[in-house]
Amino acid sequence: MKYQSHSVAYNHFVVALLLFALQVIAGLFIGVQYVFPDFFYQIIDFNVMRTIHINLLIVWILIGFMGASYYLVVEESETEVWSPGLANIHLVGFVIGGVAAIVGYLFGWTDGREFLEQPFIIKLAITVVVLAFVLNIIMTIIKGGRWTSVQIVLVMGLVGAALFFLPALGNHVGLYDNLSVDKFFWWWTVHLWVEGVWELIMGAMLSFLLLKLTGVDREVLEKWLYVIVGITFFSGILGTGHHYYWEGYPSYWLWIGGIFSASEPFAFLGMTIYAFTMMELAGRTHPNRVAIYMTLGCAIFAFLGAGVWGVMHTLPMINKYTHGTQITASHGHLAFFGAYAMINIAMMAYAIPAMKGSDGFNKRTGLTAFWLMVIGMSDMTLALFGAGVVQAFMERYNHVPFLDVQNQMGLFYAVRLAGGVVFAVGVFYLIKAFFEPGEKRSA
Amino acid sequence: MTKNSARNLFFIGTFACMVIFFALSIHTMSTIPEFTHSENLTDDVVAGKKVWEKYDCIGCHTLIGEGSYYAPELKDVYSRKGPAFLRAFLKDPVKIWYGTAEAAAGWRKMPNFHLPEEEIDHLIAFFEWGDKIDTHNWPPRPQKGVAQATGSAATVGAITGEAAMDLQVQQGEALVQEKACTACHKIKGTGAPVGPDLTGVTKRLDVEIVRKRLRDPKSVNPDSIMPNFGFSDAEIEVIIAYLKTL
Ligand code: HEC
Ligand code: HEC
Ligand code: HEM
Ligand code: HEM
Ligand SMILES: [Fe+2]
Repeated sequence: MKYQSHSVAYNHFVVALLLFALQVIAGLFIGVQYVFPDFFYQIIDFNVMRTIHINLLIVWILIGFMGASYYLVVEESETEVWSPGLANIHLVGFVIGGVAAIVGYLFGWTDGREFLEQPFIIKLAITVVVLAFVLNIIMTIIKGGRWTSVQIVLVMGLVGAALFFLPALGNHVGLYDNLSVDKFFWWWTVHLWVEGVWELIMGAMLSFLLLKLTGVDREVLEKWLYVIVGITFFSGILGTGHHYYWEGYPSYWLWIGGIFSASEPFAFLGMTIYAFTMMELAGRTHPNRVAIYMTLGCAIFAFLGAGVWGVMHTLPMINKYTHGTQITASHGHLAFFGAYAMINIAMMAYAIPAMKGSDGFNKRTGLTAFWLMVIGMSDMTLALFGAGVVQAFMERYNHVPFLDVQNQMGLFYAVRLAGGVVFAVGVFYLIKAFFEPGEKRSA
Repeated sequence: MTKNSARNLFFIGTFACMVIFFALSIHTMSTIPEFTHSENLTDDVVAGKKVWEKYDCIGCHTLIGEGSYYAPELKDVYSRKGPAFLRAFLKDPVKIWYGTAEAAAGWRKMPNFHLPEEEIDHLIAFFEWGDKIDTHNWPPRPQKGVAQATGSAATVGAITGEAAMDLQVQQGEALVQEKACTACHKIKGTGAPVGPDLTGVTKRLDVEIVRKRLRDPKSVNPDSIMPNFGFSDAEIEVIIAYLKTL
């Protein structure tokens, strides 16, 4: 390894990948419950494993971000991590907190607010971990003394993520007794993460990958990075309003939320164009094919999942009928996978072989993983989309009772489960590629 | 455009959007009392929200459209089903919904949390309060209010002959659907077996008893869990007209 402290990134990646596998297993579990409702009924109920599924998702994405940030910052700053010890300690802290939370859910220890189910002390522990991490990153950059634009955007994203986690603590100190107040600030964390600050993290990482994979001029790249994150915040902050249509707030949110969130896809479209143009300029010469696939895959599926699948139900007159249906689940899956799972995987596909001194993941295994995940997720997304259209039309528009509609939709859920199995096999191949010896350096 | 101007635009734009967003947020918070009737936000309601969180109900249900998509939306469950149903259901969901565990096998169903009476009270208070939040009429539901049904039922009374009879039956059916009698009664095979099957009930029972029961269930059975829907006489007649066709 060129830098000793790359081992810090490596440790984070290993943990992230493991938790990803567990997340997918939990997903399969609740996918089975959708098809066979008696599966573990009254033993491990749907809500329990669903909570575990989405918590593992957030935890592994965050740990992946941490590992990828350490790798990126070391490379960009051309210096070792400020405190590798601290990094490993906060990783262990995060894992302990995460495991405690997951085991707690199995025993009903929960705060019962979607995505933010972690009990108060776990949330405090996460806050401490994240602060330690952000400190370590900033100190490393200061130590290196090279504030590149990629690092500035990354740090803004990380600090923003820490800041917008704070509203999540409000329920524990009695600020959210009113459900509408609770929901208002719940979205400050949930929406302003995925459609705000996380996009900065993603943009920084995408730029880093393009720099490494294409060797395109840094000035040009960084200029477009600012343009893209500019669109992100311009549309995404006021776009929060697309969650404020029906929760007991004034109706101006229907206009503001509708208009601004409808422009959010431009940020994702920008990233797609950005990635493809830079690859085109460079003539795609880099030998790490798997990393190139994952990077371009991320650019495409982030646009499809977040941009297209998001804008589809973001206008109030459509959202009125699709709000809280399987359409939302369809979008949630494709967006999270395309944007944040894929950017992490792309960073791993680039960084792991680079650390090990090989050209890239084994091409066969890596590309098998890519295609299985992409096909599996596309299948799941389309199945849920079909279910969502039926549900929106029958339940919301024609007022047929919920279960009468759901009980007709077994086929959609069976198809989703099949897609989930394909996806899980893809994850298996990804793990295999991770630990396998990579491609040998070709002449 | 140079890199520096792109960067400046980014910082200025972000700052401006943040300022607008915070200003609107403050304004929205000032409207919360009006939109959510916070004067009715009693301790019981707050306790109900805590119970809602304690059992992670949102892990299966949506509430005002947010949460999980495995179980029904509950924003308007209070006005759809009423407190009597909620109380009975939360005590023993499978029995109320499906009758027996065998009948429920293979179907989606809610676990029994063995909720203490007090927690059920709190949950019902929470649902009752949540029902009144002004959500710009979300979730979309058929707009057949009681008042409307009463008014037109009275009009129907003035018309005579077969056409009027048909209209009465239709109105009765609409009321029975709106009040979700099938939450507790089977009608032509669908519905829950909490109370007796309503198919052919007017052939089994004297119409006067049905009328009495609809006016006030407790007048027939003091322990009845059937809610008093507060029907007007005209409404009771259209319901009976409908029940007679079953
Ligand atoms: C494991 C999933 C699950 C959890 C957790 C859950 N429910 Fe349910 N709930 C259901 C399902 C499924 C139904 C549909 C009726 C049935 O089949 O039992 C339902 C129905 C209901 C209904 C009737 C809805 C209607 O439209 O008639 C109410 C009220 C309700 N649940 C309240 C709650 C409350 C309160 C909690 C938390 C204490 C809760 N549920 C937790 C799955 C769940
Ligand atoms: C919360 C459950 C519940 C709801 C909702 C409900 N009922 Fe009932 N109903 C019962 C029960 C239980 C009985 C059995 C007698 C008793 O316990 O009072 C009953 C009895 C009856 C009877 C007498 C039947 C007999 O054979 O004795 C009629 C008629 C009736 N209900 C009509 C209705 C109609 C019409 C509606 C809708 C407007 C309705 N009920 C809604 C619970 C309910
Ligand atoms: C990578 C970026 C994104 C991710 C990870 C993401 C993820 C999610 C998730 C998980 C939910 C469900 C939240 C819940 O549980 O209620 C959701 C809801 C929603 N998203 Fe996104 N999203 C992204 C981008 C976008 C974009 C760009 C748009 C619009 C153009 C959008 C529009 C919406 C809308 C309208 C809802 C509410 C759905 C409803 O009413 O039920 N999303 N998103
Ligand atoms: C094996 C594959 C998977 C299966 C079978 C699966 C299944 C499920 C199910 C059944 C739910 C609950 C939906 C509901 O409430 O009705 C869910 C929620 C969710 N899953 Fe998955 N999942 C899988 C993989 C993934 C992956 C790879 C991601 C992200 C990268 C993901 C992200 C999410 C998110 C964000 C939610 C919450 C959605 C929302 O609230 O709208 N899942 N999943
Ligand atoms: Fe959003």
